[in-house]
Amino acid sequence: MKNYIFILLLFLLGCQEKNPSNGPKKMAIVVSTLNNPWFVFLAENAAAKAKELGYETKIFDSQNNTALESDHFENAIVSGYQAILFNPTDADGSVVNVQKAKDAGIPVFCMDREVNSPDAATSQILSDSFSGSVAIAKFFVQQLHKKGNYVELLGLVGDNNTWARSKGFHSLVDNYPELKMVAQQSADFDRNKAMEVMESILQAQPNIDAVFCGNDAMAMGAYQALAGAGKANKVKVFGFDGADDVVAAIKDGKVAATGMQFPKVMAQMAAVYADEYLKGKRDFPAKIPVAVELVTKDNISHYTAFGKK
Amino acid sequence: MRIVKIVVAIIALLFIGYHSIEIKKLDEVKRASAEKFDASSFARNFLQKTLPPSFIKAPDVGTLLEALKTAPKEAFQKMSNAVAIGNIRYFLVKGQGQITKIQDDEVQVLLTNNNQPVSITLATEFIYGNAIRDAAGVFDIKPFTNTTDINNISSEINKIIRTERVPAFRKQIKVGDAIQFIGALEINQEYINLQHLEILPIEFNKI
Repeated sequence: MKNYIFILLLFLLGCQEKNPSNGPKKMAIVVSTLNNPWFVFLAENAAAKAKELGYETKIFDSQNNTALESDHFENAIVSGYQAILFNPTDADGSVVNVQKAKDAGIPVFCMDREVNSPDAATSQILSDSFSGSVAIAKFFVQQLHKKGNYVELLGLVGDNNTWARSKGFHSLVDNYPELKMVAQQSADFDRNKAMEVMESILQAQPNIDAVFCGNDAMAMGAYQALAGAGKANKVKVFGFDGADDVVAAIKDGKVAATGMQFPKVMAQMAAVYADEYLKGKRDFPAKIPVAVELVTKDNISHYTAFGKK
Repeated sequence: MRIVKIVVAIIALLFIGYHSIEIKKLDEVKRASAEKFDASSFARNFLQKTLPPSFIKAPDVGTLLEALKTAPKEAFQKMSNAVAIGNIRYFLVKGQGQITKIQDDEVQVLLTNNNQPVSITLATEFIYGNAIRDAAGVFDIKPFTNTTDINNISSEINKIIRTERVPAFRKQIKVGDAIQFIGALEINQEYINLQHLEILPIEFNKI
């Protein structure tokens, strides 16, 4: 008899877990890493908006590890979260996690980074990295008067944003044959690595006029290497993100330009869309680009870090 | 006898295995998926058929500037479009005026159908970005699941203007000529700057 009661209790508990309508409304926020202030800002804004909409929230840190990310998804599914606001670790490697949630009936809204699947996520809200880089490229060509030698520092080679930024930049710059890319190397979106890579490039290519970097951390690393080599005044540095140190560096004339992203906009929209989904809406665009704005010394007074006011 | 069975089993496994998988070069697969959508044809059709019916609704540059000065919020709400969320908005505009300067990258035009003289820049070199694709609000992003396709549409539209329409136009103009144009204008709705108006041309001709 005791066994029957125990089984019945387990059954009832199981039902409670899987029936979200009986428990509190909950959204999970799964983020690639909390080791970077940009993603902390993204996660905190998603959580804040979800709370404002009446949901309990929990932020999961994937530590740039798809296996850990997979554990977080399983945890979110069995713990009765009704929606997942997601910043993927890997465009390909994260697809299986999103699909797992979809199969469990839980909608996933991607923020900033995309997964390479047309229909696994309910909607993907992404910085328009390609167009942002086109805007930077136009300014780059104008600043260099259509000729010179330049270096490109790429981000993580497995990340779609790395290539969207690079392709956007080259879609314009490559139309100018007198602009010569003398080196192109990955520095993994990392400031220290960018400094080392740039120091090494400068040994082989001392005569450069500009550096285009796939993010602001690398732009600061490249600037440090150039300053160390006494070339900071001659070489123009271009970044992407809108991080606080680059905003300050643009004001000081150390960095020429960056592409300002708006993580708050993406995070809030993901939370609002998830709420609308849970209230019955189903018609969401697969991809929603969020505009990236060119920031230079001429308009820097309008901006602060991460597009905040 | 047992050996024969094992050999037959191995052959069967190899046969099934070989026919179960297909190995292709990664760059071939990438090329094949890229070929699924023809952005160039889409762009040509967009410029020739999708976009022109909107020209009649395009406000005159002078009218738009007046609206942006007196009721900017309403002007952005009623007249601007953009596929991307954010502050960058695009206006489809029309105008006519007199060419005052022809430079390497642009043509300066003094608008003639305004109460006050207004000078604008018609870009002829840096025709990039999403302004032309988005300005009329007739491009629908919903059917597109691939980010590359969405970006390629803008690139191909701009390429047609830059490499086909602009060279033909530049060949026939000189300072003092009267022209009319349809174009796309980008303005940041958070930081409105009407000092330097650069319009990306879509159609233009001498009058």
